[in-house]
Amino acid sequence: MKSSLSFTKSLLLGAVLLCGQAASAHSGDAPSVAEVKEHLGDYESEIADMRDTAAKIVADYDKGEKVGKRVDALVETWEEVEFHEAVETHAMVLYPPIWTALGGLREAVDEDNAGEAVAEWQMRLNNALHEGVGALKLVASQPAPATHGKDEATTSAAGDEPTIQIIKDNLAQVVERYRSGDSEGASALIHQTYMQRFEGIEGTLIESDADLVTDLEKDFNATLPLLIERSASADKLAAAVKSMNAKLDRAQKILDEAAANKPSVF
Amino acid sequence: MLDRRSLLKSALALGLIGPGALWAADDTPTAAAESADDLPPLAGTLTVYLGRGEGGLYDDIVAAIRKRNPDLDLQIRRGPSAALANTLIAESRAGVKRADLFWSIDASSLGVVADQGKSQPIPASIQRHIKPAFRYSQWAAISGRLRTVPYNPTRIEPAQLPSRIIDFADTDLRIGWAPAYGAFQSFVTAMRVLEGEDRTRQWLQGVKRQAKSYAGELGVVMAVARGEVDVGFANHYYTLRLKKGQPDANVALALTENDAGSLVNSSGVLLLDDNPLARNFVRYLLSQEVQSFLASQAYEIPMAAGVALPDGLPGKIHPPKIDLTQLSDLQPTLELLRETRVL
Repeated sequence: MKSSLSFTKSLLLGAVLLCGQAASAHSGDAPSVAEVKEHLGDYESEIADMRDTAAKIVADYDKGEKVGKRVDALVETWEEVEFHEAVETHAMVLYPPIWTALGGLREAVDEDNAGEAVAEWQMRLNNALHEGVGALKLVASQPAPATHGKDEATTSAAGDEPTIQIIKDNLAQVVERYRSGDSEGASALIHQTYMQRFEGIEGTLIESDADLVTDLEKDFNATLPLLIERSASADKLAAAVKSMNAKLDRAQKILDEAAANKPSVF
Repeated sequence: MLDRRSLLKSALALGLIGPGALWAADDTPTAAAESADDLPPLAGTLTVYLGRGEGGLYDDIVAAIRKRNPDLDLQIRRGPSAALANTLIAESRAGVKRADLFWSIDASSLGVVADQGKSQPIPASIQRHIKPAFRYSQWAAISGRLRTVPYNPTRIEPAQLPSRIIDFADTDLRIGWAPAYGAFQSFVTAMRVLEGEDRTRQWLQGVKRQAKSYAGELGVVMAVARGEVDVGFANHYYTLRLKKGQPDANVALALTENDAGSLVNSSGVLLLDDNPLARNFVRYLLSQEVQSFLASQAYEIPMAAGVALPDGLPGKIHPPKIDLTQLSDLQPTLELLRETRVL
């Protein structure tokens, strides 16, 4: 049981880290963390309905009924529920398994005498939905990440301003997590921030101040991880982050100057 | 009987040939990059899944395409490439299609989706603008990153450098590397694929004896420039960017030949349906203007024919023949790096 919980925790953590700032592709109205928190009850109700529907479909399949169209309808339900966009936005890692389970269920019910496979896909669907809502609960329980509320493609085009701010917000969250005892989550967020955020802006910085970039690389990849590994005090970690923030402010100035001088694409 | 050209054409059509030594001299029919002025305006709704990783650069391109095409409703969904690939597969399996294009800096993620049969072949009308050695049937290469050997010219003569990466383990050169770095791990994966696991293990053990580790590959290049190490292993753009800011830095670039040491890893685009708007969007990415922007602003290797390479690259590039999508097989590489205590 302990290992299962640990696995689920890792999975949920991964989901949060990967998708904290994802943007909606459809309306630009991706739910904020505050909205996720507000709608947790709705999500639970939606997945309970979906699980009930799936259970009835499977029971009727076992009686020999043709149920393919009802699975199609369940897929449509999944596309329409609020839970869908919340998972897509804030827990992307757990989003594909829901689609996979629905697709598997759809294929399985077209076969005759496939009760075992149908039951297997039903279970996978139930688990995926459950893990999805679990991830959203975790998102809602964390300090609000830096969502900045806009499509990254347009914000960053304006001069990388949000990227530095996102990095600083994430580092603040690293300290919060470490202070609350979540060393694993803090370490993962450091790595994620480096890979997904800092690496994207370092190119411009190298030309102006390569030493600044290597300093920050060291901070991300050695200073902070080593402090955590050696169980340093949270205050020491906070001091290291404060020092990084000063370097990030310098980086912001360089990016602003570079943005002002950047040629147009066309 | 198939002649060389037909054979090459068939192999290219099947996506069997990756970047090869043909790059420098190839007679496959190729058309120069199109000018954006000659492309049709983009109008309608297009959804692109865009892998994160190139920061503001791709954002600039997206913003410029939007500005140039006011009737284009361009929906961008960003996320880590691997997560987007999983999402595409899962959506497709459930019979849902949300994206028209998948644009990733990571060829292996493109390969994962293409292997599931979820992509449309890249039409010949687009392929002909891509450098022949980088034509794949299921994805369009957009721009590349080259593995290089930065060296300190005040300490090392180019003639002292082996022309094969595998031979660096038998030198007494002081070497800088960044084993935790993703690009380094892709390079070791390529070595595993090309040379086999045993030779790669021996190479790692040999180089480790004379290597110093750095947090990132810029750190490697700067250590070379300071004379802390004689040579390093790093992607090309770190040296080019450093030289742009510090023209007198004591670092120059060398290339190995036909092996993982000169791997060109490419970003690219998958067409997920036969929407003409999606095809035309890819044409914009391969246009002279976008390709030149990538080369001049990010020092990326342009994949469209006839576009100038970034300044400062050493003369002739001989990348190995390798299916870039195989670079996704990272787990055995990590195990090897841990086994040899490189990581």
